[in-house]
Amino acid sequence: MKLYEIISETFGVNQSDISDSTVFLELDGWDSMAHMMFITGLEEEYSIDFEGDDIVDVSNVGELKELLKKYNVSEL
Amino acid sequence: MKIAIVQPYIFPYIGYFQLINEVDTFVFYDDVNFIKKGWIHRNNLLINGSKNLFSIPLIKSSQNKLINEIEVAIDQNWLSGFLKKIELAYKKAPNYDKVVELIKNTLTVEKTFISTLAIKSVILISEYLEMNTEFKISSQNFSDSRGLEKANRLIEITKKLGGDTYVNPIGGTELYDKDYFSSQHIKLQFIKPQIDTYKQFENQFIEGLSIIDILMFNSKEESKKLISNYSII
Repeated sequence: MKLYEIISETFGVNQSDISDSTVFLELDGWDSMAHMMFITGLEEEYSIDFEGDDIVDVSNVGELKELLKKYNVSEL
Repeated sequence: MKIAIVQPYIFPYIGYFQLINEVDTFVFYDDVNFIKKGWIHRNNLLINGSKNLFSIPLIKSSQNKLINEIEVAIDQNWLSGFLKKIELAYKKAPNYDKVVELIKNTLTVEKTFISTLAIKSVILISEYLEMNTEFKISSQNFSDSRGLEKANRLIEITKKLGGDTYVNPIGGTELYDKDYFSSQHIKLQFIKPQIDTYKQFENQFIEGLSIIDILMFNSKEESKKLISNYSII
């Protein structure tokens, strides 16, 4: 899954360790600058532009997947 | 007056410089824990049309050490190899000559720490781009606040600098609450980059690379324009 690839690349986590309950803040490679890189990476990959208010509330992978559906991203 | 406080990153991506651009004073947060799988000591370049990671060699890196406690292990062999990699990747890029000098100036060092090297890379590029932001280093200028809880330390540093606004990357919204900052008389804002594409080689655009890539393919003025495109939440 491309989404898991981006998470793995940005935060240095194995794809096999990612699930819907994965909390970004708890990943070893997390800091707020890396998270910003992650958001811009998602926007580029899926050709979307998150509204600030939408993306600020996302804390885990499951919530992110729901948000991506809202932005009509069908293939994760 | 706006303040940002961020871990030092080596040749970071454009969002880092957008944050620098937004604030009056940028504090390098070097006396916090190193992030082994993070972006303090590494980033991506464009090599043969793909994203390719480079990493500054370190001595005994650990998440139990502070960023300013980790020494780099750059020797002449590594440096020659890295510059060769840059040459092969970018020698046909329009601004190769100027940018490779910046890289050489950054990396030609005696024994040093990754914090010092990363800070040097950011400051040299900021100077090249004629950015007016003032820089400070947390371990040198704000060591007395080290024991404070995260948000409180950021607020303390902001106030010490005479700031009324703290700007964080948008990734920090889980950690920091606008109401709490407001109760401490500091406005909290978040920066959300807008990443514009630019011409690389004949490849499909690869985003999220080190500032090195942007500078290789864009003039100083074009780079400044790319850096100025973001929104504040």
